[in-house]
Amino acid sequence: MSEAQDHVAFETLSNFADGILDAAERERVQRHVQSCTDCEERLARLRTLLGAASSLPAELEPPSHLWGDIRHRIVALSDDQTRSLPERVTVRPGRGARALWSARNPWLLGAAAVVLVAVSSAVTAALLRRPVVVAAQPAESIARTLPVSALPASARAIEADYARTLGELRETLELRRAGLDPATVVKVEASLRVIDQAIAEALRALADDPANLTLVDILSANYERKLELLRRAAELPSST
Amino acid sequence: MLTDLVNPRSTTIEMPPPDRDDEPRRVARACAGDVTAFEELYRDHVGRIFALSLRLTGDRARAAELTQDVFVQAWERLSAFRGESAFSSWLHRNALNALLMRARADKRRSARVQLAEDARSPSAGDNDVPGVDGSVPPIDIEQAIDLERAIASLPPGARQVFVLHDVAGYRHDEIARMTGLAAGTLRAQLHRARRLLVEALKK
Repeated sequence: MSEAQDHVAFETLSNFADGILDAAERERVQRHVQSCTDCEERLARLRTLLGAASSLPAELEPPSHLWGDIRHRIVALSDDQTRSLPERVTVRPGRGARALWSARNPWLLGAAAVVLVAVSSAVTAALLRRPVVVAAQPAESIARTLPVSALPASARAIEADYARTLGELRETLELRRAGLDPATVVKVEASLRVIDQAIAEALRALADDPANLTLVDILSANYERKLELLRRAAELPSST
Repeated sequence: MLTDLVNPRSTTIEMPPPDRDDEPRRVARACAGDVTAFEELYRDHVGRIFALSLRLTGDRARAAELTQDVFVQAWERLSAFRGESAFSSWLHRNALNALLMRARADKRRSARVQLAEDARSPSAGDNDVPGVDGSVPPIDIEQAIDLERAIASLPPGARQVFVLHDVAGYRHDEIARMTGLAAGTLRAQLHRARRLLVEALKK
């Protein structure tokens, strides 16, 4: 900053307002502001903003129906053990992501997915500080056996994001199954089972610890892997 | 989004301060399944949690949904509350974790939607990255009249840091721990938010 000509950068003014500049820099800014009406005005506006922000009311009134909605949910918790997840389809994820994958062999992807899933399972176990019980059924059925209220909103939103696309890819794969190499289909199914197990573990862990950000990331990443594996499988050439 | 934010400053709750002395008893009753006791705890704390939700999301409907989730989770996890800190601290910590987790999930979903739709313009995303030329995106003059509205119009990343630091009063190290943001990124987002707001309120 050459004080006579150049204005103080906004970032520097912001740090000045926070009082975190070192003494020499603080003095330079102070001197410049005293001699520059533009910077003086910018600093005054900034301080007005900070004063107004810290004075905003700490409490705001929620919608009047909110407690009723909450009450309904917590009362339902006691007897809501078997309801299925609602169908909430809002987006079709990953349509534009195809170009991100350059592996020509889908089984390289499947193998990579399995390795990554094993790692994420270990992370899940470490987060829970207890051994992870490997699920014997697919993630979809795990989700259905958990009460709706046991899954945090983030898990429900992630599931809803992927549900439609995964379903369509599954259908496509089923339709093409007869024309594919049987050994290949076996490998696909094996890889899908491993990913489903990891998703199920993440769902169970999230039900226990809904605020755990790492578990949300693991759940999302495993859905991405499942999506990509199914997409690659659906694009396989027929063996006949 | 902004249409949902109906003049929040005029809707401040005017209620007597919560009876903190009675709070442990209410918590104990709620732990035992007393919904009425839990409602009293809700009445004491919902204003602050809803305010934080609304400012972090900029959307009244989403803020209500998040607040609902926070209290349902609190009910489910009451047995984990050991009384080592004030109930309000425990509740707000859980709420903040849930709100930030939702913000991250929203950000991922937004990115996926952008990919899925082969977004035509970079601004179609959550607009977290400042312009290459350092320019300040214009904010509608009507939005700038009210600070709450101007905050709601900030890009999500900048809004989150501004609300946590300049409105809610969290320290940099606390925000870094909660959000996982690096110190440099956090400061950059804070400067950006302040610059956008100063520009908006100048008009």
